[in-house]
This record gives sequence, structure tokens and C-alpha cells, in this order.
Amino acid sequence: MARILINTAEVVNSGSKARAAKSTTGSVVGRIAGVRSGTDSQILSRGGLGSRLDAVYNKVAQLEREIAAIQNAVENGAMQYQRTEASLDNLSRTIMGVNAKSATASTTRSALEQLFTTTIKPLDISEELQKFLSQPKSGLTEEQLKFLKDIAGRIEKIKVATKEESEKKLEWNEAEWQHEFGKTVVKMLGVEYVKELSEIFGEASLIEFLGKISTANTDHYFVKAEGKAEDEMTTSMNFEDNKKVGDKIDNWVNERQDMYGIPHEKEKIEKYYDENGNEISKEDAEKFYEREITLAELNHTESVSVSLYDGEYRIGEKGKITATVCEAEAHAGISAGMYVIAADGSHRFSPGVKAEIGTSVTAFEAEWEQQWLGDEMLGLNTDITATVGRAEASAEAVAQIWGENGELDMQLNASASAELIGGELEGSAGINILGGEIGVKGSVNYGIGAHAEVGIKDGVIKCDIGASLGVGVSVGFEVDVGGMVDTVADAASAAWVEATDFVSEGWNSLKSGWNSLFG
Amino acid sequence: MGIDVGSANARANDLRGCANDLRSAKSNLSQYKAVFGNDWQATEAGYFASAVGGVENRMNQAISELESIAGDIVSTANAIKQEEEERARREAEERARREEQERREAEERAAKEKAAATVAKSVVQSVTRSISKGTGRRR
Repeated sequence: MARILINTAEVVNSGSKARAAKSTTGSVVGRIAGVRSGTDSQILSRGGLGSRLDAVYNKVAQLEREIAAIQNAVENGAMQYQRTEASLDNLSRTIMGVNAKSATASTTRSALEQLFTTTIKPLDISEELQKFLSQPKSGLTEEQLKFLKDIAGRIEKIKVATKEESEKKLEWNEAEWQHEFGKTVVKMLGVEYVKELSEIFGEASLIEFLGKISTANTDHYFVKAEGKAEDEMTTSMNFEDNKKVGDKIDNWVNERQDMYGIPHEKEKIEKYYDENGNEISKEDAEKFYEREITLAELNHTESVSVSLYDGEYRIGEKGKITATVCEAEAHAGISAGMYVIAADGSHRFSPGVKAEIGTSVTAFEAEWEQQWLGDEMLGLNTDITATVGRAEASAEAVAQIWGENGELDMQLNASASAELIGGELEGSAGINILGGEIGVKGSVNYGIGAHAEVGIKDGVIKCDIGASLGVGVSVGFEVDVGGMVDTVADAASAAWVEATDFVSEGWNSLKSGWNSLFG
Repeated sequence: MGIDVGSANARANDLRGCANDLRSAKSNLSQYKAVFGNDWQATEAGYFASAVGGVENRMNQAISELESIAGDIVSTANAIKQEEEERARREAEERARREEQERREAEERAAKEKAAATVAKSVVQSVTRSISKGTGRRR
């Protein structure tokens, strides 16, 4: 993960040092010439002194030119970075639909807190676990019970800590830990306070920033946090060998599925679609769909991603504004990044392009940009890998939800999308009790060129767009969306409508913003 | 016209001043380079730092060369001066030798002339006496 830290003001200011060096060097060049002309010819003719003076004259003159070139490149790069960043800020605001700079820290915090309490619900997990633990505990050893209680206790601590810390300065991050019970993967994801998480989970739960861009007046955090509690748990005990425990957990998952009306694995509907939205057989479908993503999860991601980009705008020495980029950017990027137009002009679903193509990434990056800037037809590819109960099942689906003009058009393939939802919800609901992760990354490239890449690799949706003109900025994000029972159970269809509207709006804004930036 | 060592020294000092100025420029560059570690941390910043480092290295070479040339200018001027002085000394010695020889030759000539004159005088006196004696007998 590239890490970028640039203080453009300081970089530009430091140019005075380079200019001073250049000026001095230029002066030296002139003085060497003066010495050359003022030195007795008898001296110059001896020992090649004249030639040596000529050589050092040329060398210093070359140094002067190089200093000027470096300084020029650095300042241009810094300024371009600044301009690009400003454009990205603007783009973010466009995508968000709000003026980030008008959002105050308090309103942002309030929004995040509301999101935390209404959307991110570790409390539910806690409650579910408490209910589970209150049931007859046959089949569970004391050690296993202790483990589960520990989970519940940690969640409660998060809950308490969140409440207690709500008035303090926030450092929102995303934390996740996961553990496997048999073949059932339990993921927990929440928006937590860094400090409290560290205290709760200890050093092993340190949260990492995936990317940070800082300028003189802004801080942009693109964060991904990983709870390392998983390691602690997996090393402390092994549930794999305990069928009873696995069964118990599976039953618990099955109960949740029944409770929320989530179809079980055997009821899963797998459908495959080509780039035109026509249903095709599994054999004819692309083979590179390996991981899950559901539209419902995308909708969920909208909720959590608010905390994943934290932009701080400092105003002078005293003021600052904190803004948060919503997940619309991510969604739009996700959607946009799932397609590729092959060299022969054919449209191809290739969210796995990066993983599948490997070393050909660079070539595709160029194509991607061309594609993005055009009005080519786009599609959507999803791959659902579900772990429900003891069996791991996967469903793959492809849907075309983009119109000919590159705008989202859900009506175009409404049926395909609807089918897709069903399949995805099935796949994801049982796995992810609460989860998902989003990371945003940024990088600066020097003299490489324009690129855009999006894909799924190792279950993470990646989007990386950028343009390098001398020095350019690329912005990307990674999204690993997990399931959320609440999302599925509460309003799957309503969430879908919201998601499509939101994604559509976000994508169109992104496209507009992109064109205004680089078009 | 002889070599002007003072002027050569002045030129050498100019070059040494140039070297010092380049040191100052290099110091500025070092401070400039620091920005890539402090205020710009990214891949391309490393390239810039490397480029500045390259300039610094070649600036060091230029500094060394300028100082070397300055020293050589002075030593060359001194050498030329020594050569000029040696040549002048040799010329003076030759001139003195020639003058001494000429003096000796002149003295010899004078001596010879004096001797000749003495002889002539003696002859004249002798002749005169002979003439005087002859005239008396006839009387």
C-alpha cells in the first residue's frame, strides 16, 4: 500500500533552497569563465590547465541546469498534486452530494454517531450471543463458553467505550475480526474508536491506516483496521475438531436464517448472465468470479463507509473542518470498476481482471481509462461465496445494469438484478453476522501515465483511478463487503431500491466528476 | 613580459572562492533534499532525492577540481617565475662575462698601444739623437 505524505506548501517553499543553489552555481559558472580569460596563457598552456578549466566550467554549468530542472519538476509535481487533490476534494463533494467543507466536525461526528447506533450494531451481536449463551449449553465446554462470553464481553466494552468516548475527539476507523467456527465464518465489523479498540483488544488489535494524504491544510485518511483478536483466538483453542461446537454454531446461524427468512443454502438460486443481461449457463459464465459481493451488502457498505474516509481541513492555525466521504464514492467506483472492454472491442465482465491477468495490469490500466472516459456499455459482475452452515457454497451471478450511454439504468435489466439480489442475499446472509470493510488507498505516480483499474482480488473489490502527467495522483479503494443480517432482514427490497438509487446517483456524479477532472 | 604571480594567485583565489560557493550551494541542496524525506514521502520523492544526491556528488567533484586547478595555477605561475628568474640570471652572468672579456681585451689593446708608443718614442728619440750627432760633425 502506497503511503503518500506531501506538504505542498513546504515543498514549494523549499524551492528557495534550490533556487539559491542554482543562483550560486550560475555565478560560479561566470566566475570560472572570468578566471579562464584572466589567466596567463603561459599557465593555461601548461598541464592542460586550460582544458581542465573548460571541463569544470561545463560540469558546473550542467549542474546549474540540472538543479533548475529538478526544482522545476518538483514544484510542478507538487502543484499538480495540489490541483489534483483539490479536484479530488471537489469530486468527493460531488459524489457525496454535500459540500464537505461546509460540514463541521460536530455535524460529522453526529452523523457518524448516528450511523454507529443505527446502522452498525455490534450490540445486536452481543445480544444474540447473550441469548445463545443463556440457552442450554450442552456440547459446549467451559473453555468454549468462556470464549464466547469473551466475545460478548468485548462487544459490550465497545458499546460502552463508544458511548463514553462520544464526546471526545474521534478517530474513526474500521475494525474487523473474524473467527471460524467449523466452516462458518463469523465476521464482526464496526466503526470503533481507535483508542478504545486498542485498549479492549490490546496491541494485537492495532489499527492500520491504509492510506493517508496530508497537505498543509488537509488530512485525508483512508483507513482499514484489522482486529488481530482472531489470531489470539485461533491459537488459544481449536474448534475445528469439535463437531458439536461447529454444529451448535451452524444451528445458531440456521436459526437466524429462519428468523429473518433467509433462504438456506439448498434453496439458493444460482443464475448467470452475460454482458447483455441474458441468462446463460454456468459453463458459459466467466470463470474468474471467486468472491462475494452482494448488492445488499453494497447498501450496507454505504452505512459503514462514512467512517472510512476522514477528511480534515484546517483553516488557518485555529480552525479545522472534518469531513467524511461517504461510500457513494466507493459504490460508484465499485460498479464502474467491474468491467473491461477487450482489445477487440467486446465487453467483458472482469472484476477479477487484476487477479486474473496478473502481470498485464498495466496494459489494462490504460484501457480502463479509455473506457472510463468513453461512453461504453458497462456491466456488473458479482461473485457470491457463501458459507452457510457447515457447507461452503458459492453462487455466481452476472448482471448488466448499465445503459448504452454509460449511465446506470436499473430498469434495463431489472429482472437480472432482482435475481441477483436473491442469490446474493442467500449467500451472504448466513456468513456475515455483521461485517464488511472498506479501505481507500492513494498513490502518486511519477511519469507513468494514466490508468484506471478496478477488480476483485482476494475478495476485495479494488478500484484505482488516476492520471499521471508528470506527477499524478491515483485514488483507489478496496472494499470487502460482508453480510449483515439486519440489512437482509429489515428491508432487503427497500435497501435495494435505495442502493440502486444511491449507486446510480453516485456513479453518475463520479462519471461527471471524472470527466471534468480528466476528460 | 614576465609572469605575474600575483595575478595568478588572485585567479587561484577566485577559483577557491568558486569552490566555497559551490559548497554553499551544496548545503542548500542538502536542505532542499531534506524536503523529500520530511514533506514529501512517496516513491517519486525518492527519485527527486536521488537526483539531488547525484548533483551533490558531482558538485563535490567540481569543488575538488576547482581547488586542484587553483593550486596548479599557483604552482605553475611560480614555476614559470622561477624559470624566468633563472633565465635572467643566466643572461646577466653571460653579460658580465662578456663585459669582463671586453675589458680585458681593451686593456690588452691599451697595453699594446702603450708599448708600441713607447717603442715609437724610443725610435724617434734615437733617430733624433742620431740626426743631432750628424749635424755637429759637419760643422
